[in-house]
Amino acid sequence: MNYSHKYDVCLILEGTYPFVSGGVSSWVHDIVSTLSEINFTAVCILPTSKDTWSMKYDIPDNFNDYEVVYLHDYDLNKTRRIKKSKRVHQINLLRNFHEKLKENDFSVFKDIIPIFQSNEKGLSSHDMIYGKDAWNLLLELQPRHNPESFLDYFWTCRFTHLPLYKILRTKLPYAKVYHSISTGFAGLLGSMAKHLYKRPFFITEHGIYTKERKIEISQADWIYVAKDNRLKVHDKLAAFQQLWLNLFEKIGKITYIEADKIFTLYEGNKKIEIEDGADPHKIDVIPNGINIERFGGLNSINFSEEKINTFHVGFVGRVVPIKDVKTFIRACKIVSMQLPNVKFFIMGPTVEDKAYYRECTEIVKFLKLEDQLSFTGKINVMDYYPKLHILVLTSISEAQPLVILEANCVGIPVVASDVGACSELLHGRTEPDKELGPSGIVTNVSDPVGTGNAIIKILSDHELRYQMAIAGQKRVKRFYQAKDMMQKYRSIYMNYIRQPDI
Amino acid sequence: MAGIGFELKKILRQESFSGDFGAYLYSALISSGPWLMSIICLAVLGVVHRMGHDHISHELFRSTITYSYAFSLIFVGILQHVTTRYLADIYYEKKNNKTLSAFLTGMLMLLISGSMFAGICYFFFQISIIHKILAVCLFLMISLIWFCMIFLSAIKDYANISYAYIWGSLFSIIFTIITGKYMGIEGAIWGYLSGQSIIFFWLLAIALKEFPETNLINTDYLLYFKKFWDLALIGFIFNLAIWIDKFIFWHAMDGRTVVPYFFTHDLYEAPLFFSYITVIPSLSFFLLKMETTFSDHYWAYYAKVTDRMNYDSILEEKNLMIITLKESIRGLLIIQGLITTICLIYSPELVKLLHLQKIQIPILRISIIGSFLNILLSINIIILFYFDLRGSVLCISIIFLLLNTSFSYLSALYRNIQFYGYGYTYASFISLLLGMYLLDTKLNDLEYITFAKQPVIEG
Repeated sequence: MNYSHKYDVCLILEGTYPFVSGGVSSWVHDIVSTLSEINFTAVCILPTSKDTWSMKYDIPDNFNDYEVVYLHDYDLNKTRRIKKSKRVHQINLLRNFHEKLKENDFSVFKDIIPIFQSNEKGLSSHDMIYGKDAWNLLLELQPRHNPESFLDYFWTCRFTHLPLYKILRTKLPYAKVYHSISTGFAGLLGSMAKHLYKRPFFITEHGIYTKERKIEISQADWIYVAKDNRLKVHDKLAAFQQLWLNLFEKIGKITYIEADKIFTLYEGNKKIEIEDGADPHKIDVIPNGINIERFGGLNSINFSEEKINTFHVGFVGRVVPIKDVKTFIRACKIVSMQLPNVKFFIMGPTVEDKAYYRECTEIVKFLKLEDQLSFTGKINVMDYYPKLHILVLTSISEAQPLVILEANCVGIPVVASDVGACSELLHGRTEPDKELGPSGIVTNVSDPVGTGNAIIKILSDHELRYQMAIAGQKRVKRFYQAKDMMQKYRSIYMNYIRQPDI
Repeated sequence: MAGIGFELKKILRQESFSGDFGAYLYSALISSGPWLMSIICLAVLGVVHRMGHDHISHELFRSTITYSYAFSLIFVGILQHVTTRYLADIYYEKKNNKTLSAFLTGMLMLLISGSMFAGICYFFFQISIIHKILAVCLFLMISLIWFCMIFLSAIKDYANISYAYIWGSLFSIIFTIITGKYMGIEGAIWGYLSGQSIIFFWLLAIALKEFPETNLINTDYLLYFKKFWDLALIGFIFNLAIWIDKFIFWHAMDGRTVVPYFFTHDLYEAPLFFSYITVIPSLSFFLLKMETTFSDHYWAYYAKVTDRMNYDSILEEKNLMIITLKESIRGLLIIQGLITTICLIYSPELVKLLHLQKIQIPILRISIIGSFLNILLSINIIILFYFDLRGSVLCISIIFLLLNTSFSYLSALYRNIQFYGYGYTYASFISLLLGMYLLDTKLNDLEYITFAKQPVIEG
């Protein structure tokens, strides 16, 4: 095909860079800024143009002409009727697609792309939402004698399909590589790009998109759940929640199958991806790294020869429920009962969830920890790292927390709950990594006793603390440097850019 | 539409003959009250007039009344469906306090635009100035009565409404005879007008008593004319279509000018008017069935949709509704078929009774059939309105207008009395076929229309 090769890489971003700040956005920004020799463009998927979206980053010069797709700005204008034979043909394709999906056969995805992307006139979104053929198809695909509310079945079908039509009709810029930073709608768009332009497509998944949607759906009160179902406690989703989840599961699977390569941050994610239908051979773990030069000058107090009068234990994170600050506070009590000379610092903004912060301060008062424990508010961690003997993380959910890498880099052992990548960050992921020894202790989630004991163990054993500090520093230097990660992505991009058309 | 049903059902459930009879009579009044009364009045006066008055005054009198009814029907037609829709919507939203302000706003609109319209038109007529003023007043009065009936169809006070008509019509006849005797044509019209004003003020009193008080101008109601312009257009076109054949015959070669611009057609008009009376049983029967058994299933269907029932039970309810509808139509065909057949057989006797000429017998016969078909068409349209199929109704109305215009023109062109009335009848017949076809396909697709035609609200 004769396309102008203006862009090397087209990033496909859903609800993130450059309009929403956060971990993934910073990651994208760092990659684009660092790989300045690569020409980037992007398709940014945002919910609706009714909200105003402002740039949260200074866009680098090699990031150009990004397009924005508003998922919920539907184009449902009435269109001219198309020829009957064509209509029947396209409806047959869609019927076949849905029937194959039910049998978990995803190879038919490419067959339906022309319906949405062809330059010739086909079924419009208007036809698919309001048309008689689409209505008949909807009835056909409904389970026989469906006992569920038809009103909700109908509207769920509509609302699950409207954003899909929007995505499938998106005109993609031509690039040599397509890179989606999640599955979901971004993944679907990338899968389509692969078939349209015969160019390689890969994804990097930070959090597991489908899992996150599942949590949202199970908590959504706008999805109808039959009354007698609400009262029962069960882990199965109600019929219409399941219908919503289906959407994300199916497009996730399509993405996994179509992607040439799947990258993720840590082994735990890889496991979930395999369970969700990704081919294990396609998946590679590329952890995030930190810029160790930033911490180059810093050395933890653990390396000091001086006699220790008081220990300093730090907790880095926003004071919000997901970080489970309460477990940390209770662990502090256990520590302070055995070791009187310990000071605790909770370092992070306290204003995000004021009610939760108030509850935390009440627990501190109740446990009589006011003298030992303090909330510092938002501070620069660089000022505190040199003073800390140990860093604690009690989160309920994390991906790959960079704070562990930072602490290790400075030489601070970490006690962390067993979520996300914490265990592989502290014990090592690959064989040579594991040989370095542990750089901290992993505890159970919401386990104040375990956390407290782990802290006591490290504080009371000077040799152990020293070993862990050394192991941590080595580990970060060898395996978790940002520049190494950038180098990996540089070579991945370059490889794919050079690859001939599929 | 919604309100009257409950009241009628109560009457029907008394299950006695008098209860039944009262209900049918009431729904006849609701559906065609003013029209029914005017034909009866004209008939009575037609018999009575032989006792006095010169021929020309009587014709002027009759023309004035005919014009008033014809043009007020077309005029109020513009407001008819929009208003019905508005009332149904505020009834559904339980905003009953908006009824009276809509009522007053509508009357104000009618009075202002009606007096301008009628004033300008009658200005060119070659009649006395007093006659002109009285003619404008009569036009306005009858328009207002039509308009009242749109609002009162939802009101339970049916005995009171019936009395208004009976007394008003009685006084119309008495006053017309008395004042007509001493004051000529103007006196006769004044007499008729005062009888009609009794009806109007009686209805007005009922309305003021029933509807809670509010402010004068209702802008929501005015906005409905913009939003539902198609309903306004339908009302105008359909009522024009019903009258267009008479207008054409007025201007035919054997049509006659009483005085400019009162036209008449000696042979065509009278049989057509009287044939309408033969279909009043149909209208009242159907209205009653529609508002009772059918609407039960109609609401049950939509209740099943909104109560989150499954697809099978929605379909089941839809089929029940269609069966009821078919039964109602079958009952109607039997009753009206019987009446029409009897009227066809006794046409010669009817002609004699009505003081018509023998030569008008074939016209009466074909127009009785035409009225039968026409009432079926009207009912067809009412059903389509139930399902908010405004596009279909507009289409049928336009076709009916075009057909009635062209067919009537053709039949009038030949000046052959054998063809008179056939234009109207065939126009009704073909439009009815179209209407039934549309109704059938749309009812088949009802669940599709119910769901898939719902707009997606964006964002």
